[in-house]
Amino acid sequence: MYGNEDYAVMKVLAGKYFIVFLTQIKNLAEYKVNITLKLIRPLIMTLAVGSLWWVLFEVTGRETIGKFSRLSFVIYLLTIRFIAIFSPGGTSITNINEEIRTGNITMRLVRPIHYLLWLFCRNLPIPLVCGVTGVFFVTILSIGLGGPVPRGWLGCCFVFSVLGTILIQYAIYQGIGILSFWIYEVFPLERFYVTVNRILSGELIPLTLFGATAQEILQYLPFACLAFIPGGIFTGIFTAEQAALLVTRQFGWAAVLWIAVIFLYRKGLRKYEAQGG
Amino acid sequence: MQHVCKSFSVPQKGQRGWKSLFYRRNRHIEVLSNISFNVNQGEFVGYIGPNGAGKSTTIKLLTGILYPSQGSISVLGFEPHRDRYKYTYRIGAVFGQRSLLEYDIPVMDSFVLYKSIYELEKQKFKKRLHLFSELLDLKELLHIPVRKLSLGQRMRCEIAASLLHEPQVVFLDEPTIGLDALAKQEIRLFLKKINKNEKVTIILTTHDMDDIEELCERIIFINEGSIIFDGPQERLKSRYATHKEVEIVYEKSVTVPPEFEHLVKKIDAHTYTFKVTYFDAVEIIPSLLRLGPAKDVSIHEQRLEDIVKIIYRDAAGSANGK
Repeated sequence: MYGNEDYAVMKVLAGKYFIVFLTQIKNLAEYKVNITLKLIRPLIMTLAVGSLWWVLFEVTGRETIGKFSRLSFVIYLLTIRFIAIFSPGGTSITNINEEIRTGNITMRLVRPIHYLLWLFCRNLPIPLVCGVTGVFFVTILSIGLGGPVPRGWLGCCFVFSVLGTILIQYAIYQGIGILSFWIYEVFPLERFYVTVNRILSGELIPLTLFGATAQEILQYLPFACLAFIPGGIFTGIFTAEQAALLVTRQFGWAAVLWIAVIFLYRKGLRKYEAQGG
Repeated sequence: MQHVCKSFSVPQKGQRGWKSLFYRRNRHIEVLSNISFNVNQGEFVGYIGPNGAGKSTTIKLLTGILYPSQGSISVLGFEPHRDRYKYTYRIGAVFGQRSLLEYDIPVMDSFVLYKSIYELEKQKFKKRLHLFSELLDLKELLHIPVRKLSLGQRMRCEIAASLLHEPQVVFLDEPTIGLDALAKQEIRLFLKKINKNEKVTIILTTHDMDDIEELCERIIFINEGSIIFDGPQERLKSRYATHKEVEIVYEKSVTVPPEFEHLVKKIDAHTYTFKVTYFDAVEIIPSLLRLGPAKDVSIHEQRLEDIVKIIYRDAAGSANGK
């Protein structure tokens, strides 16, 4: 399909962004406290949300709520909390916003790099290291407690699902950041997104607990791809076939959102003014 | 650059009502109007002007960061804003107030990053690194995190990073801002060598007229978005310089005749300093030498800095008079 020359060009390009990624990995040593806190935070969040659900199980006396047992509920909450770590988060928006507002983006634009890809490779390492560590921890914990762990096809779907989640999260966060070409203050938008996402992604309440119509609508929105789908696949509430379909939907959303982000970025660049020295 | 115009839109204040949530009225400010100039390969051009004249905007247009509102730009056969990705392999840019080095990691790691970004071969990278280490005295700095460098040290590293890939054209936007005299001198010497040895075309914007005086043969002077002078430094001096200072050391005190009294600037023992108008100098100097036996004579041209101040003042005056 590709000639030797194409392959060489692709190799060089891949190498270029891989070095950006590696350079950021070197920065990890400088962010030990940040990484530790990132890993502790999901545990605290799970404790807070999980205790509410524990009380609900106790009060209702039910063994399962919305396809979840007590244990699978805890594992679900932990999984989605750790998957949330993969997100570049508000820091990435702050970085993009600052680069555009202060004009530092200038330094990126005079180099032969694709800014969006560069941002992606630059923002990925810390979330990736923390996220993989977290998911590994949940897997071990779940095995230890006799809880659900995806195996075979379902395990494969889970890995792809996390990848899909990462792509969607980055598209959304970078998209919000890039709106700084038009809006000076994008942080209220980020907070609005985070709040809406908490409700609609299944982060606080699994989507199986919503009404049938709401479930029907929500499963087609990208929010479900960010928590409910990977969390649901991990805890085994979907069959392998269902999981494969949901992962395909995730990648569909990722493609749509990235096309939108690239379009926004190109429009933004045309509008960019970078006044002053 | 041919007939390039660039305007920015600035939101108007004081808009109220629901409509202002979704629609903002903007007014357009023309930052550059009808700018045209050509630069030959290997030239060292000083692009100067007062604050807000449009210097940085021109550099950003030439580096492909900004799109021109009108006109055309061609550098090395590229249209910078359209072919930016490919074009940036061939240019280097230093913005004195911004950093391209990674803040938390050693300088060497940033260089390795740029080696990959510019797809440099290992041998070439080593050769360039060796050259810059020698010329800019970087050896001791390579393994220090950027955040721990002084401004002068960082700027030396920034310049090296932006020239690693052997660019054909280099844009320098205030590269010596905030540096001490020694650091400035080191950078000037380096730029001179690179320009001479590698035939790199350099366009330099700065407020430091010593940089310009020492480095640039050609000066483009921009004010309020228009070029008001484009030519050799000497021509700028002869066009705008108002006077020369003639310092004569006489063997003993002399009596200055009334017709020259207004020219005396300073008398220090037997040393007399006269301020003569630029074009009268040739006629007046022999007369001054006839006032008494002279031991030494020196003629000081007006410094570029002083000439530029005069132009700025004139420009501000005519703007106020508008």
